[in-house]
Amino acid sequence: MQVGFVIDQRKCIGCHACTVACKQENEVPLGSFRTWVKYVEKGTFPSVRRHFTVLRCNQCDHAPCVEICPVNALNKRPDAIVDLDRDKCIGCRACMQACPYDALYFHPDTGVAEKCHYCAHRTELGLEPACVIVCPAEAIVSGDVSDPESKIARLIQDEPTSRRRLEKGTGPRVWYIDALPEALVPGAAAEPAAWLWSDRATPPPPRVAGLDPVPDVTTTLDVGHAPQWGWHVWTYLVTKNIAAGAALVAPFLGLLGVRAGAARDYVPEVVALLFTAITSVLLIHDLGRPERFWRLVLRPNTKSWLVKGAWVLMAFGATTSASLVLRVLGQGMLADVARWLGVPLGILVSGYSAWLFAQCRGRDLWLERGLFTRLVLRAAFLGAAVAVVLPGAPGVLHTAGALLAALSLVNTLVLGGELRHRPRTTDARKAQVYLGRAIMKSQLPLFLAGAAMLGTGHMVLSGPVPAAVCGALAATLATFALLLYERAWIRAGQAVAIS
Amino acid sequence: MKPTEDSAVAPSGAAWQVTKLESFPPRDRWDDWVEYDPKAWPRRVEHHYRLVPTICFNCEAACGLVAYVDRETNKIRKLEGNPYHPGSRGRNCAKGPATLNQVDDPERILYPLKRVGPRASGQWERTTWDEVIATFAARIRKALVENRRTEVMYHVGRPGHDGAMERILQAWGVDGHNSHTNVCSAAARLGYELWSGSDRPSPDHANAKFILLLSAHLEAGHYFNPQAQRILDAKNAGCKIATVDIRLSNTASMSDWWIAPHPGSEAALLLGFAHVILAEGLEDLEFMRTWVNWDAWLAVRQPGEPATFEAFRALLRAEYARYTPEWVAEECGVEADVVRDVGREIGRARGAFASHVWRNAASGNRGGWQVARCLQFLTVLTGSVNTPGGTSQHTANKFVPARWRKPPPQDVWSELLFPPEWPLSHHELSFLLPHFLKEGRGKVDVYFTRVYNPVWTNPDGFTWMEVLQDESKIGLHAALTPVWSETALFADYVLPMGLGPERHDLMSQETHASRWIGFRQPVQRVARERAGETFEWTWQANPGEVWEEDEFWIALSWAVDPDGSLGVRQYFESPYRPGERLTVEEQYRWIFENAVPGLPAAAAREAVTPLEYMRRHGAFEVEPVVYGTHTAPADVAGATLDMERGVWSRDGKAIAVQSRGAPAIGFETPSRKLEFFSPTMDDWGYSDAVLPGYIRSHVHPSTLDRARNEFVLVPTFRLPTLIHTRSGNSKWLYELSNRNPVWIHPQDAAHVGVATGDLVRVATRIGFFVNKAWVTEGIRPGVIACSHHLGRWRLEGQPGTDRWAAPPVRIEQPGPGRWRVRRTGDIKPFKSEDPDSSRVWWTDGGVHQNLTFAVQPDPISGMHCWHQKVTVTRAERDDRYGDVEVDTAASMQAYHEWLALATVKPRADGLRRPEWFTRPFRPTARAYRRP
Repeated sequence: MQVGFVIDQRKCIGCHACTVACKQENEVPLGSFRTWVKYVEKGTFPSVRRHFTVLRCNQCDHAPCVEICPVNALNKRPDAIVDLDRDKCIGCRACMQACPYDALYFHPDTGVAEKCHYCAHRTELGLEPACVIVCPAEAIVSGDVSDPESKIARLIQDEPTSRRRLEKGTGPRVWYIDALPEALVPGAAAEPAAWLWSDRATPPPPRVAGLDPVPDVTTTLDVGHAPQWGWHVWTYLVTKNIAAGAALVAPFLGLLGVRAGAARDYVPEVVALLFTAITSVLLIHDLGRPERFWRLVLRPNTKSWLVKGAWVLMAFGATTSASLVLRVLGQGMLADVARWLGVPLGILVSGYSAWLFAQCRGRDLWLERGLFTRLVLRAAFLGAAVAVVLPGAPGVLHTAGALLAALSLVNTLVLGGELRHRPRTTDARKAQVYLGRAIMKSQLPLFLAGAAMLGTGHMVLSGPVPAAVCGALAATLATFALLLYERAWIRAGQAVAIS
Repeated sequence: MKPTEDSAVAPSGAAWQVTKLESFPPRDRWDDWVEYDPKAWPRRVEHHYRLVPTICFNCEAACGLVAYVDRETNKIRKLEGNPYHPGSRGRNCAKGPATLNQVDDPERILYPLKRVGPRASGQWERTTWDEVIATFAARIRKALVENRRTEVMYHVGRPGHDGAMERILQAWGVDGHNSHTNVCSAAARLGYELWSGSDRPSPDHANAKFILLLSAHLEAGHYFNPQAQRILDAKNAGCKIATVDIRLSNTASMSDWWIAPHPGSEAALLLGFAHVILAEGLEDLEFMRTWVNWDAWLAVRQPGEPATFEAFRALLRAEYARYTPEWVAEECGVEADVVRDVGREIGRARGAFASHVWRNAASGNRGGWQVARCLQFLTVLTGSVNTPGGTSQHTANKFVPARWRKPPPQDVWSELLFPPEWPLSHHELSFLLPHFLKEGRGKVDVYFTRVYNPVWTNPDGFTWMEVLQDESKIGLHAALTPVWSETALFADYVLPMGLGPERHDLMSQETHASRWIGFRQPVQRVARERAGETFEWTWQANPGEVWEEDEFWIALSWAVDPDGSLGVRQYFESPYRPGERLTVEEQYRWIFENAVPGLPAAAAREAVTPLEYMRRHGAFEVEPVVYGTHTAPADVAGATLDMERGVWSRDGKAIAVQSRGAPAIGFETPSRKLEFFSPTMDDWGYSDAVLPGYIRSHVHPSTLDRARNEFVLVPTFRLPTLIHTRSGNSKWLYELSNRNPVWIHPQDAAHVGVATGDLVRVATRIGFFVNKAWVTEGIRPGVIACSHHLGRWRLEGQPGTDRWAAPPVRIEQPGPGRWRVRRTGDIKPFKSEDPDSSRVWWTDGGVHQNLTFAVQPDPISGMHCWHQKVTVTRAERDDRYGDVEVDTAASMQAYHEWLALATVKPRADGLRRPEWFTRPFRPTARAYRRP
């Protein structure tokens, strides 16, 4: 048996019976939905019509949520249902970034994700899903798609059907008959600030000139999907890059004009370990179920970059610790070897997020090319920021400041390129516009320029105290600038409607 | 689909081997059905349930529900459809499962409450049912003893039962039944009644070839879910649908034609269709020749000339010659081609034209009753009466069984209910009660409002508040309600009555061409009794002390006449235990054993008693297919035939008509035919309205000055997920629908100078309200619309309407008769035992518009004409969202203006109402005549 749904919009009357029956059957909390009805109106009086579309999980054949789930809480069953095990879920909400359909939600009481699971607890008893039996119009058809004699298989075979976002390669198993294309394509209809007969739980996505839909197609009723990743995630991107950056610059501190001694010997490792620890705390604190963190290590889904990232962080932590311990034990040569090992590991620590975000298939902005390089460049920038706060060697030109200034310039140019290049999808273009707006609003370029100037100042100032102040300010500005950037990037990625 | 007894549903715990999914658990396992806990999934934690069928109580459709009662906790886990229900066939709308919210609502009233401060001061104390019964019984007994039999009044919003209250009130001998009908369906009822003596249509949508809806049955109304199913059955089979609605409804969106004429011009549109049918010769001549009283019209219009059918045809064409598509296009503001195309489609549907109007244009406009009459005209022209795919009388498809020991009719007539100005009203002039009381037409000593919220629902709510606070006009007021309402705030007692799964009722509705009854049950009581417990009263098994009306009325009536000296008690004695008090179980047992044909036999086939059969099935189909009731042969024993008219009469009442040489039952009219021409209208002084015709509405375009931003406000449309004022207790429904902005066309919005979300002030005859604009292509230019389903409120700092639905307001009286409502906050999260209450994310709740409407009783039908002439402007500087201001002196003046339109004079013979017209709680023939 290979289940699926046909939603026959020729019959659907937009009555929300499925929405409410599902809430009852699965005890779905207020503010969240496993299935919902979207209204889109098209045309001008009197040739205007309201079109209904029932939206829900697609029980994908290549489910991105299953791939990204670090703890195998999401799984594809043999009957094609994508199920979620609430006892395994750690509440990381990566699935909500991976899903291009807004199908999952976070339960505020249990701290875990939930989703439509085709009422598996009913199908195992031989009963149809709750939304199917309630529907007055019999517009929702369940059944065995693999049985050519079944009603659902015949409908798929005989009627013209469409599916949502096939370009995402997910293999969705919900087939629509006679759905309005603009209702299936997110962002294809204009959105007012409130709905026809309901408040909006989330504000409409900002408008983007040139990409906004034509005005005679308007979404008039929908449900809200609040962004799931917030300050933990954008802060972690910075703290992780500080750790990575410290490792990247560690072998080169002498070249950068840092005075030999305890600071040069120990601070990079201490910084890397401290910020790796902060990163880990942020990641764990962000979980809906932090006490289940161990599952990520002991019950891992090895396809998930959350898991592989954790491995990278662990390897990095081990190497860095080894470097530190060896140096304390007076094994300077071995410590240097470990320090050199930290360079490629630091690059991975910074860059693995690119592969994680590449698994977030619902967020087109995050899928754009070059993320790995951009992350590593930002890590290097923060590494230079670490270097500038270390005391300079007397009489030696302090090139850490120059490096900081140069990397500030490079990152500014990269940022300019990021905002200027033409993304591959319309959604990514919209997100790019949001990103640009947020960046300009936050005065981010000013902070980057300030960091560059202070870096240069640090290089040329002679007195140790003015140089230290200048270096500290430069490092602070650099960190702050990247916090602003990551915040804008995380928000912009989630600001585009995907359902 | 109904489950098969050998269905492949796996027992709990078995590995999943089934490949075919069923819709429902097989009934032989309803006593111990095992399901997995969805909150524990994928751990397979089992719960055991007793499945008890009942009837939904959220709209009038009476769809079947099955409650899953947990065998351990006796709590209701969920409510699904009942596959054995002939109307709803196992399916429900959003409001069915939402019943669970209402049962579990942390805001619900669990115990009888008694006012302790002045009325409307918000101070309540818990009391006992014994005290309630004693208080009301004494007061009612005194009224009966003193023969004040019009001072006890029962005012009902949602009846939700058939045949229950007649017994109670007639046993008391009072004329005290008041209803909500005149703010709802009175106009359509009159239009239908004049044709056939049945005041409701029963379209057989499933088999129709063409469907014309002046309704929104794919989303709301009587009977949304069952009729939507059947409309879609027809649509899927290729039937075309046209929908007439001012605003773009979901139904209109699903239709082949959406026609949005000028509000109030709908009758002209329908006559345009009739014109096309007549002009193109599409009418069913044979049907009309046989079943229409054309000869009576000829006798009046062409006296002395031979009454031939051909003469009638010629006269008919001449009568409707002016309704050409071009004239209609001009009058209605629609395309002439649409009139022609739809008219032809209707004509070609010959015999299978299904149609429906219940509120819509009929309830909006002065003369709206002609809309229903014109619609039925099309049904008659196409010979689609009582045919497969046609439209029947509701009496053909509704079955109300008799009850044990029927009391005689009351020998008294209340003019507070049926005043002389409206002899043809359908039914009571309910919404004018406060105006009548203010005028000194009478008083009400004991007043029961039951699931009735006139302060909020009716026009001119402030006048209701004034009168409900006046103890000289309303002596003692009990609000019988499952939920707080704005009216309950003004009562002396608030008596919690059960929701759908907490009470007994019997219901039948004309959902399709069949006849069925549905049985509402207190599911927790039934489940626990199945487990061996016993209860004297349902409130002992319900949440808190929530009772049911059936038992309440039995207990109250028993206490009114404990010794039988008033003659009341005899009707509340057990048919099985002489002299003992009737139990609710015995009441239904008697009905099912004695008054439902076929039920005892069906029960015998399952080796259970009829009562047990109904307890387990929840519904019974009395007659699966019903067509052509008017052609059934009549029993004319003891009757006499009027040879000239062809009418058989017995005891002065027409009972049959001679058809093709034999007596047939015909229709419930004096001629026993369909009365195209109404001698009754002629007889009662409405000689200009003897035929289906077009009356220009009080909001006809000629009455509006568009340059001054005058608009028609259409305030009558519903939302698919709400239920008047009884869904504030459902979080799932309010999450979906929680605001009612004013729909306005982009052209008009530009003229007024507003965009979506801007505040607008909508000024009526007596005040104004402030709401937000919703600029949409889904409405006709020149018209604005606002749903009447939202705008609930609670008085700041008082118990009241659920916090899911109602923001707090302050009501002030800046001067005599001057009232002002202002919101003092938003809907917001609150603490309760339901964790969801802290997750309420919506804030709006909508705006209460009905307060600003003057009463506008149609001079003939008595229907409140809902459409309002309004002026729309941008909000003023001090206006805030939700503001309402009204002057009740102006509203009394408006009442007098409309009263003056009801010009008919009392008859010399003293007859108050045509004797053949339906009247609920029909009194004695003597009471029909003024002394």
